[in-house]
Order: sequence, then C-alpha cells, then structure tokens
Amino acid sequence: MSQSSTKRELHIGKLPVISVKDLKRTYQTKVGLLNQEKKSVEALKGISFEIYPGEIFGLLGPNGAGKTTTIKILTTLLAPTSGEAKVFGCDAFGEEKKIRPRINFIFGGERSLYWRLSGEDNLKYFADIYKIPRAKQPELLNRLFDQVGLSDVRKHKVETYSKGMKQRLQIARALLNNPEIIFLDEPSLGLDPVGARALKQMIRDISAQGKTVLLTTHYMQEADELCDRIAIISGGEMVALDTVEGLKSKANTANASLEDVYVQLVNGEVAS
Amino acid sequence: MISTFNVLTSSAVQQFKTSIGRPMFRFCVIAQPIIFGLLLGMIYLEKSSVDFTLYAVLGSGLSTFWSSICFSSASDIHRERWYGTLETIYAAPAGFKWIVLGKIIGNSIWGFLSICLSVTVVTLFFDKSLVIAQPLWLGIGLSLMTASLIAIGYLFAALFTLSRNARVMMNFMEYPVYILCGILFPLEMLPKAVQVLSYAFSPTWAVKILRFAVAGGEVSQVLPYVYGLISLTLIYGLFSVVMFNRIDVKCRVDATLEVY
Repeated sequence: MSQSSTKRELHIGKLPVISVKDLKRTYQTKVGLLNQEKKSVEALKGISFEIYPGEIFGLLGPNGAGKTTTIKILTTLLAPTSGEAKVFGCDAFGEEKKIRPRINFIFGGERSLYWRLSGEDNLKYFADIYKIPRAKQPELLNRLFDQVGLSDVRKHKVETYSKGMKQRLQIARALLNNPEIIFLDEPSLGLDPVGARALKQMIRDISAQGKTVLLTTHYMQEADELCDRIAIISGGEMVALDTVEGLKSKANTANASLEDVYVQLVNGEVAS
Repeated sequence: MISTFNVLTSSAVQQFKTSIGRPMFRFCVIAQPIIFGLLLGMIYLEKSSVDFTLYAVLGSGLSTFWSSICFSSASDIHRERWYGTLETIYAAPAGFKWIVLGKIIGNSIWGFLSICLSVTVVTLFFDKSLVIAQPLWLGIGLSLMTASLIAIGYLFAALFTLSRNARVMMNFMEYPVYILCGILFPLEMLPKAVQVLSYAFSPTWAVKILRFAVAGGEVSQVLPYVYGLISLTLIYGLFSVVMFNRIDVKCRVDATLEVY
C-alpha cells in the first residue's frame, strides 16, 4: 500500500494528531431467546493509519466496514479489543480526560440534540457541560449562530428545524469548545443538494481554521472534493490509503472517478 | 467548583424543560397526582383524618413522585441513548456523573411539585380536615424522602447506562413499590415476611417519618426511621458512585452507549 509522495511530503516534520496501529474491535452478541448463544462479530481486524494536523481525512467503506467503530474508539466512546488508538499522543482508552476537551464529534443525521429545546438552549447547555465560562458564552453563541446561519431561528424549538438546520446546529455544537480535531460521521446523510453544499463549505471553513477533520461518508463526490487523503476500509480491514489522485491512479480504467476506484477496491478488482 | 455547580444547575434546568415536553411525563406529574388524589380521597374519605392525610393526600403525591422516578430519572438514560445525546454527554469534559445527577435533580423537582399538586387537589375537592401534628417533621420527612429518591434515581441511571435491558426491571418496579412501601395503605397489612423486604426500600422509611409527622408522638419513636432512611440513602448513593466509576470502563467495553 503506497501513498503518493506529494501528499506525504506535506507531513514531513509533523507529528500525527491521530495514530492508529493494528486496531481491532470485536463485539459480543447473544443469539436466541432461551438457550442464548454468544456470537462474536469482528468489526475491526487490525487497521493502521495516521492523520496529521490540519488534514481532512476521509474514511470510506461499505456499511458495516468499521468506520463508525473506528471513530467511536478515537472519540473515547468505545474500547478497542487490541491495538493502539492514540489522539494527541494519548491513549483513547485510558487517557480520555486529556483528549475530550480538545475534540468534538458529530454522528450522522439529526440526532445528538434535544429537539424539545430551542437551538439556543441546546447550545447553552452543551457550552455548560463543555465547561465554557458563562461570561464567554453570549459572544461565542452569537458568533456560532452567525457562522451556521441560524441566528434568526435560535429561539425556535429544534423540532421545528429542517434536517439541514439541525445538521448546522450540530456543527455549531461541535465547535463550541474550539476543538483541534472534529470527527464527522456521515454528516451529510439525508441532506438535500443545497444543504449538502452548505455543509461542505462549513467543513472547508473548519479546515481553513487549521482544525483536523476526520470524515466518513458514502458520497464519493463529497470525499473527492473535501479530503486530502482517504482510507478505504472493508470488512474491518484496510483496503487502501492514499490521496484522491493516488487512489484514482490505482483504477484499472482510464479517467476513473473516485467512485470507480472505490468499487474496484472494495470488490477486490484492483490491488491496493 | 463553580463550573461543576453550573453543570448541575444547567443539567437540572435542561431536564426540567425537556421532561415536561414529554406527554408521558406530563401524565406522571400532572394527571396522575390528580387522578390518584381523587381516587384515594374517595377510598379514605370515611377513614380517620390521619389515614386520609397520610394515604389520600401524601400517598397520592408520593406514588406519583415514585412513578416520575421510574419513568424519567431511570429511563432518561435510555431516552438519551435514542436521542443520540448519551454519547455527547458521556464524553463531555464536565463529567458524566455530574451531568446525570443534575438531570435527576431536575426531574425530582417535578416529582416534588406533583406532591404539592395532589395536596392541593385533595384539599380543595374533599371537605375533610388535614392533620399535621408535627409540621417540622413533615418538612424533614419530605426533604429526606426527596434526597433518597434522587439517590435511587441516580442508582437506576447507572444501571441503565450499563445495561440496555434495565428498562424492563424499572417498569416492573413501579407498582410493587406502592404496595411494598406502605405508600397507599398501612404496611402492617402485609405478611411479616414481605414486610422484611419492604425495609430494603427507602420509601418505606420515609412513609414511617411522614406518619409520625401526621399522627404525632415521641421524637424517640421516629429517630430509628430517620437513621434508617439516611443510612439507606447513603448506601444507594455510595453504590451509585461505585457504579458510575465502573461505567467509565465497562460501557465502553460492552458498547452500551449506543443503539444498534
């Protein structure tokens, strides 16, 4: 698995902010009602990658590939079965208190908000539990509502928001603690083209502020436009890791799109 | 210290607003005390003023407070899991245990208000005088009971974080506690063997203190119940703290924070 040299050169001298080595995660489930049988599902079978400061790093793969499991381990929400998952050089399982104030995350769709509260009440609450001093909150909230274009509806209940508005409020929530790394798990899920375009611009803006973004998506066009590097995982294993151009060069057809090479890699039609 | 206080108040206010937005919770803290108050008022109308005050007035309030613990404080963790907010509050730097405690305090304020509602309804609807021989002990009893129910809610919240099947247990617990703890009728009507089990639940001890507040007597008679209630509350609290410390590792190993 080789990465294109041009992108690799950008990282010379930089320490990775995320380092994953031979990461494995197995889920134990029970099958049956009376004589319950324990079953193991291997979600990650030993993946390795590094992410450098300021990168937009894409994690692509089919449903069940292990993308969300990887993000949950890195966001300190899930324990790895074995291997290493480090964020800022700290172990994601064991040194989570050092990691949590410096990261934030959005897990797809419209969830992770209190729909019966207003947008403003949501952000005030999350600001409190992220220990942002109350004296700083009014200015911060004004800026974030402006940034995500929800100033005029900030006092409306979240349940009255459209899917795109909820997603933008999630972005504002994730920016409350000025995180150095933002994890975005399928953030454009179910958005219309206008909403998806606005979201892409927001991700570019976040990246322009020097923040690192780890993004999972099923939309190849989105990954193509946004990501500096992309890792493709399938069945819990790393299939490829390279820049977008590097990945496209692996395709067995001329002028291949990212989607073409993704399908070929996942189906094993081309070597990684 | 200030930020922890902010987290507690902010979580309490957030929960206070969110809970009342749910129809089931509104039923628990508004409709149920009215219905229970009216039903128990009719049942105890011909009984003594002490029994009427204890079971129709305070019993209806206490039972709805317990229901709000069952259907909110404990099951809110399950609800947060479905909202997708459990992971966010779990990973927040403020600390999961403080956030959950704040939410339970928020719910308990509603539970306490439901007692006030049932007292008001029963007093207004029935032409029967209420007896409170020891008002100070009524205040002490209600305060200790509220603290104890917060501790129970906290303990169940911990169990809910660790297990996604705890909801079944909570649904099962609602009605037996009304009966076992002497909330709706005297504990002495139960078989002796069952009464032993009753004392494992702090509402039983709280009802004894409330009975003293209503019927009066020597202070020495109520002190064992006060010590018992405080001891049980401390045990629940201590057990909750141990559970919350275990949660930090176990729920990430068992992947119980998420819905799948």
